[in-house]
Amino acid sequence: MAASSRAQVLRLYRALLRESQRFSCYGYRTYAIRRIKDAFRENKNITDSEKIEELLNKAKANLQVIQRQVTIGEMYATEKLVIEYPIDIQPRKASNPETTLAHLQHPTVPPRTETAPRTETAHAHV
Amino acid sequence: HGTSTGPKPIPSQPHSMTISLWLSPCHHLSVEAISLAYLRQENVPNSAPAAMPTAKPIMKPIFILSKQLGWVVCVPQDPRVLDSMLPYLTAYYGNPHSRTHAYGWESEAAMEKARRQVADLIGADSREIIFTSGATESNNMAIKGVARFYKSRKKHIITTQTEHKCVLDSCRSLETEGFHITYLPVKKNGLVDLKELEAAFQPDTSLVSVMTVNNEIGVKQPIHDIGEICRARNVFFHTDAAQAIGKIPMDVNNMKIDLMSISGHKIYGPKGVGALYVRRRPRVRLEPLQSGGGQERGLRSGTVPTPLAVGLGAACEVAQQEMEYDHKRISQLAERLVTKIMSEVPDVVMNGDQKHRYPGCINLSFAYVEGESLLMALKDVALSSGSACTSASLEPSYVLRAIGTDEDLAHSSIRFGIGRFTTEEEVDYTVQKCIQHVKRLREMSPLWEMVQDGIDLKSIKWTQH
Repeated sequence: MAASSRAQVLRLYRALLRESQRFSCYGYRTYAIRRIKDAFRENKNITDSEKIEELLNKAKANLQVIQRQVTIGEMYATEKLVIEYPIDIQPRKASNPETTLAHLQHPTVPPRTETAPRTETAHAHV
Repeated sequence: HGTSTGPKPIPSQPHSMTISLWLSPCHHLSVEAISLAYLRQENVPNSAPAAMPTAKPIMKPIFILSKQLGWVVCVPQDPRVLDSMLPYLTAYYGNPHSRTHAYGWESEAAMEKARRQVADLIGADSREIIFTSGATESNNMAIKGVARFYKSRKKHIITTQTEHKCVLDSCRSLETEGFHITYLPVKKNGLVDLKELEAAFQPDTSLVSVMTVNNEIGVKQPIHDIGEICRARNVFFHTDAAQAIGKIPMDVNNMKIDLMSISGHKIYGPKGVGALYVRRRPRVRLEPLQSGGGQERGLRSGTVPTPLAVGLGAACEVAQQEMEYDHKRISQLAERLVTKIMSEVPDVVMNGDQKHRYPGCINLSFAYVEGESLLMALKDVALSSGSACTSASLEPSYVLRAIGTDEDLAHSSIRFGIGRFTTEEEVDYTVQKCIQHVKRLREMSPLWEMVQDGIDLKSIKWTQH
């Protein structure tokens, strides 16, 4: 009984984590993975078989919720958040204070030369 | 205005326009509204030839920061909430008030289950929960409803200066109907002074309205004590608990609350739904705002939106389960944010009491920094609709004014919202950007230079030109 339920728990744990990785929304993905790990860690010392069964049922239900929501998320996915990009193509730290607000200048102002190299590196990442 | 004479920017549509707003017959304010699509482009227009696709990927801002002016940040819905709502938006589409067929019965069962879930979160009975369109409607119902019902004998209402706009506006409209309202001032830390509250009571006071957690500075009012005071004097106690529900434990019997406003989208539920708790024992009578078929105990006629109500119920249940875990995590993240910023940058003030607060709402004032510039510089983390360039009013928040913040500090205050889905990376990113831009803006500031030289700014006599 103990051996099979341990295997069962591990199987569920891996399935939950694998499914949560597929969330397209950053917040949901990070929350699901974090919460799953913390919940399993919190309950790892429970020995009462009834309680274990109850928790496993809850986990199975949550797995189904995650599967459905992952699919829906994929259908309505949007652009990635700024924080999901590697640090080198995130909006650059301004060396010249005025370049931070360069994009707000009227379009007839000639572009600053510093932005030209930035577009080239961005091309490489696309 | 807005179209270039050179090669067209991508996408080629007007990216900004000047709007004139009339504040009064002789003053108007010109505001430049900048389109969101244009703001998101990291390229300066004309720098890339029209033939090449936009090089920089469009990056959405992260929702952690917002200018004050109310709870502007929209929190995402919890996926568990959406999952509970979808069946009622697809297959189970019946009207919960139709008593004659199965579609109606299922909807009604779902609605009643949601009612029970909301009631369980606050320790109430499910018959005491009325579904509304949001906390604004609940606040209006509670204040205007109670005031008007008892208006033959009681014409006085007590509230505070830091309440949400809808509460203050409801009170203002009651003033035109002949009621007198006492707007209690708050102490420097944002909390209500209980002695002043007791002194404000009059023989014809019908209602006291104090919000539990303030949406701008995050202070938590002494609801227990206020409840005791009101119960002792037989005056109804209403609290706007929109920010507190699901985040701190609330019990309407323990706290002696007679009316409570609940908002769906503040607890990771859907927008457009809320609830009002109306005590049945001792009975609180309300004059309904909305007339109609008598739904919701006659207090709020209109078809209850089953999917939204189900979502609210699910959000409340999830919040109850996750309250302890979320609170611990949010406290840690808040501690991290504040400690990091305050250790790197001097002259930062936290608005509101340090101890009696909800940790997920932090309001910091950065001295000697221009607030609007800071917000624009932090646009990666700022909620674009809250930014100063599209808001019509440049007035600092009335809440900050009520706690006695100086004008200049009030203008340079930023409100950070940390929630269930906030990650450590987002907090670190925000902190890093904030520190970077505060330092940069201070370097440009002549006031900062003067302070560094030891000049006391308050002693300066500015000359008029």
